[in-house]
Amino acid sequence: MALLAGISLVVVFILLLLIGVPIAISIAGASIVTMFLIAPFDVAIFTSAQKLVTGIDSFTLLAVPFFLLTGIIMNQGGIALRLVNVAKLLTGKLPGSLAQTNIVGNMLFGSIAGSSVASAAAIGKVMNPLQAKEGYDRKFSAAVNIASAPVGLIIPPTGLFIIYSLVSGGTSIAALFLAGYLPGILWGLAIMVVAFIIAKKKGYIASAATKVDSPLKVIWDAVPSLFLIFIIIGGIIAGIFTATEASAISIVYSLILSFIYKGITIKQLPGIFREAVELTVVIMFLIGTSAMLSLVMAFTGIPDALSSSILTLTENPILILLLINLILLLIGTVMDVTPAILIFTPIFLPVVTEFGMDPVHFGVILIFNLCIGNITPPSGSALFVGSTVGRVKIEEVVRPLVPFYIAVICVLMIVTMIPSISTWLPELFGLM
Amino acid sequence: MINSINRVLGKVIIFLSSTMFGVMVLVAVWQVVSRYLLNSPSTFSEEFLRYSLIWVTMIGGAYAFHIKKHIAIDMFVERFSTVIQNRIRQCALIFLVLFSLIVMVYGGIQIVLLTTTQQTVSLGIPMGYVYLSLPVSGVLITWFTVVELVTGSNGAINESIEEDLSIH
Amino acid sequence: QSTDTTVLRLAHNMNQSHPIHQSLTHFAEVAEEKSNGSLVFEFYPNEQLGSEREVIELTQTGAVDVTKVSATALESFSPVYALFSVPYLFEDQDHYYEVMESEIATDIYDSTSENGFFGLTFYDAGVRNMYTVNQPIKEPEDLAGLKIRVQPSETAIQMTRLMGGAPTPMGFGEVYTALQQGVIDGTENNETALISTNHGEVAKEYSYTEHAIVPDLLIFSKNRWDSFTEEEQQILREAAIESSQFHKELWAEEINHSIEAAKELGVTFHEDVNKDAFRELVEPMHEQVRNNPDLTPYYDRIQKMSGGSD
Ligand code: NA
Ligand code: NA
Repeated sequence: MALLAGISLVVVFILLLLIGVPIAISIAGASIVTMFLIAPFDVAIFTSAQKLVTGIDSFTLLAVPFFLLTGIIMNQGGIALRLVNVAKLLTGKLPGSLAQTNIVGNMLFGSIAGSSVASAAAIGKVMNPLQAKEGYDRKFSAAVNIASAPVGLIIPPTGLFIIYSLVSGGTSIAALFLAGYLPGILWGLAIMVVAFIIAKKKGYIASAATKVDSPLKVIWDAVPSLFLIFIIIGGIIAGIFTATEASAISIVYSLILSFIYKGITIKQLPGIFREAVELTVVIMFLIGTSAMLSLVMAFTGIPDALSSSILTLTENPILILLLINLILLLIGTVMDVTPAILIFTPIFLPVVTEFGMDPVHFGVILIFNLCIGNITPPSGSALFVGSTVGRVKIEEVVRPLVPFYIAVICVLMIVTMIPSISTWLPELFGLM
Repeated sequence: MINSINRVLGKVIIFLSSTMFGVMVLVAVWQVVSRYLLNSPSTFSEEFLRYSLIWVTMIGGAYAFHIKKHIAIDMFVERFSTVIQNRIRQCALIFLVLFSLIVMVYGGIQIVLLTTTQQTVSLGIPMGYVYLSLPVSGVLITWFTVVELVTGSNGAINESIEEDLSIH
Repeated sequence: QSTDTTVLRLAHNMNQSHPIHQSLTHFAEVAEEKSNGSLVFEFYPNEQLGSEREVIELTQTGAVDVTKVSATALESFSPVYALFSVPYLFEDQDHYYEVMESEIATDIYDSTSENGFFGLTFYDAGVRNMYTVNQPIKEPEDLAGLKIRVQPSETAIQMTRLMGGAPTPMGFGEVYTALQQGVIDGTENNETALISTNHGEVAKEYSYTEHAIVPDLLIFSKNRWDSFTEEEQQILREAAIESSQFHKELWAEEINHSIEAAKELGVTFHEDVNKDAFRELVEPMHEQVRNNPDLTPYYDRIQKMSGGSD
């Protein structure tokens, strides 16, 4: 039963995907066809239709569109500019300081917004032209921006951990958020090291453009933006707010800041909401159809069958983890982060918990892997936006990205092998 | 003619779902305020927010098929000649119509009928009102997709370009 | 040995180590044995097929045959089940058993027949009591102004308010942290919550307010039921009742284990609670029930059984 259902799922899914059916409907199609194999027609239809709706019936899930909206507001609201100034202050004396500023800017922006796309657009838009003016190679600048954009998906707040929490059966969001900090920062540092080496080789010096007039004023200006971290992350970790409530507050807060900075006018609001709705419905539709998939998997026992067959292959946890990493990296090259989380969490989580891995640690590894896919060809949203903003073709930016890929994969290996990088912070706060 | 109908329909959907989304933000903020500042927790907000998200997703999601916002993988299809590409795309569209008619419209109507007597916990409305989003979305998707099959264009390409530029 | 076996799908929302899973397994085993192996059950524990509400819908259409749900979840399907949320509906545990094993319960079970399912039997799911971080609740004054987490329902909020506390609705998963951080002062549940969700680590005073007894119910798909022979129906009924008795003992053991384990965590249990005072405070809710024509017939019959205090 599990084998037949598994084959049906995979074959139908790939077939639909190849003929250009949207991923959400490919998932739904594979699920419903497989349901027909195991249940009467009406039962199959009814349960599938029900799951499409109840899969998105979650209060926690609401944080995802709300954090998306926050990202859009910050992107347009003048908050990015103030964070870039802080980044200048921190990195102004390094070789290739403009590139370093871009990286730290993405890390700072990422620590208050949960989107690689918003980050690549907001920070890249400020930094790439400056770098071009100082004679940096466009391809290098774009590659730096792209390579550092996904840190915002790992450093909290991030909707990805909320989605993972949901599909993994209620892993603590507060614990996941804290777990993301060090791996996300390590990702950023790795990019900084590579950029440092390349900038030295190319002779990019510390630039006058990264000089700031008054360090105190720069910090003072950014305090309101960075204060959001304390409200959101602090509130969630202290148990004062739920993730959803925190996300609603972050909308109001960033909106007020943007009005004060005159980055956004009332007239722009409908457009901002429209953009948020368009992003939201795509993700939510995916989550709904993935709930259909989970139901089919529960009915047919696919995850159990798969995990026991992987475990008969090898019982060496390190080998299994490396295998899973490899599979996830390959999946990430073609598939977006969200659908991949939805599809592969129920498959791999039972395998890794079998040999005692913590769901929080696995969540970090899973999302880290898939975020690498976010910046690899052939498809990756940060790659697309980063190259558009940097005014380079995707084919041009891939070669300069290679050293960054290598650095990030090294970090992935470290994060995989040393669980405490992920679990230390949540343990410190008594959340694990 | 059909294009202008779709343009109006699209505008209505976008207006409704964006407004709803705005209201959701306000209600979520109200929930925080009532719980922490007024110390009299609101009981309707959580349910309202969950069911609104379902409606926004269903009608907004239908429109997203129209303007090609749903993530799809085109790499394979693009390897073929234009004629074959069109044939393959038609197959994909036909599958989408089948799915929305069978699962969303037919299955959706069944659930709505089953749940008209079921009351939601805090708002006390029939659960069928929530599930109604499913057949409504199914009908919209079917309409948009059939129009695209017949006319050969989704009538939303201009809009998409406009948005790609607005990303900066 | 019968040649044709009928496979029934059984869903519930607890994990496999929970007593209810064992009792449902007992139900399945008894039914299988009595039917000489022709009735076979396939288990879907752990919310695999969805939340209680979703699984009830699946039972309505026959995608699932048997389901264990809380009486609270059934309020949406038949208003009669709202009775169980009324605080101090039952005089005590004996009164509760007497009602649940009488014809009143059967009438309540059948109230959803037109919706495609009906109740078969009940399972003990404990008596709900107040527990707090550091304040024993013996008198209404003790509860005054305390922030008490409740399930997000109007009845639970009204009850807590009438009893004197400040109701704070939140999801069950957030309660531990909320107790720890002082966002709430206490909550209400049966003794097992002290251990199964570790609330005993942060809440140290458990007071027997005994304000509610809400059973779990075994519900069956109506269409599927009608497709069985009378003999098979009889077997299922007997198996259900047997498992209900089986569960009573299992549950009592579970409660004792929880109390012992909680005492080791330093939780103090307070028996000397002025329940009459609390009962008086929630009287308006009984008044509401008496004014509700849907509920009065059942309510009156339940009250008549209680040795006639009202
Ligand atoms: Na972030
Ligand atoms: Na990719």
